[in-house]
Amino acid sequence: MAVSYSIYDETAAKSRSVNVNFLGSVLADSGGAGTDTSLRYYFNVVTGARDVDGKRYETQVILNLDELVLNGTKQRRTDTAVAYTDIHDMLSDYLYDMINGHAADLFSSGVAYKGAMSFS
Amino acid sequence: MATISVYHEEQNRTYQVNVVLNSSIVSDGSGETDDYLLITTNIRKIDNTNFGTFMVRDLSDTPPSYPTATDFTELVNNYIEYFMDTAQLGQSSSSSSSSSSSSSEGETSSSSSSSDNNSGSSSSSSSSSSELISESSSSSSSSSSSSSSSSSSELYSESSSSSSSSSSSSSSSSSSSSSSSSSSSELYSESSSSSSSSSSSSSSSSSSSSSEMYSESSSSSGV
Repeated sequence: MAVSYSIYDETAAKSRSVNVNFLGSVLADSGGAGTDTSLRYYFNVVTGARDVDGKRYETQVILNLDELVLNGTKQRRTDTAVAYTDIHDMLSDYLYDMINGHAADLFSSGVAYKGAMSFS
Repeated sequence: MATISVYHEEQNRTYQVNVVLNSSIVSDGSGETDDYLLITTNIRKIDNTNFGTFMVRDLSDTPPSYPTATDFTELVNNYIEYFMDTAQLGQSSSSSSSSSSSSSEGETSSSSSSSDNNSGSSSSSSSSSSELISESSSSSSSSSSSSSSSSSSELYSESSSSSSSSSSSSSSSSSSSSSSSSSSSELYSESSSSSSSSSSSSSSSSSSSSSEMYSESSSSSGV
């Protein structure tokens, strides 16, 4: 059972949702190091909303509370490098980042530019 | 939702451990929403009571006597291990297999030597069960409450008494062996019922807390 967060865009008068689920499966390593054969449990963040450039938001996989939203190095809201204190703190920051976007030089995390979700 | 299947070979039964992400308004008066995991299982304790529902808000919400987990994979694995250790799935299954094997030896021959074998096998099964007591008490003391260890000791004391009665009546070989096997099957129902009554206070507290948890979540979702 996933938790669905509904986000309403007042300008476009549209509502989009972000679905977060807790899953357990074997994760394939996207870094080219092969397949991790161990079963892992993680949060899976998915949304149908699109970015301002029309591209879909990538599915986010969160394995731990210290996986910060900005390239794993920074929290979005507080610009700190400390781990999230609990699940609610972590998911709120991920939602905040998806809604508000982030700029390349906003923090020292070196993330690429992304704007707010266009809800298109 | 992550559902983990735990297969018990000797019971030929599959148990489930469910980990569900939930979000609701917490009942602390702030009115803010909270996100948390609810961990449930249909594995039953040795006293045949439920484990209840575990609420996880961060990695320090571990099973009893477990250290803080490093990630969610370790956390869930610790809960699975806790459920299996507390329910003594592996340990109880090994003791039941030894008791059934001793009864089958009683069926094969009815001579006095078979009674020696039977008594020897029953004493070995009781000694193995006493070893299991020490193992279960040590493991349960590290991972679970003391009520489960006391109930497990009651269970094994009953099992040793039933095995001694089967060896003493082994002169009527097949009937006594069938009675010993039936007594061993009765052993589980007796132990589960008696131990559930003995430790009903601890289990009822956990179930009541889980029901409170559900009532909170249901009421808050209604809000």
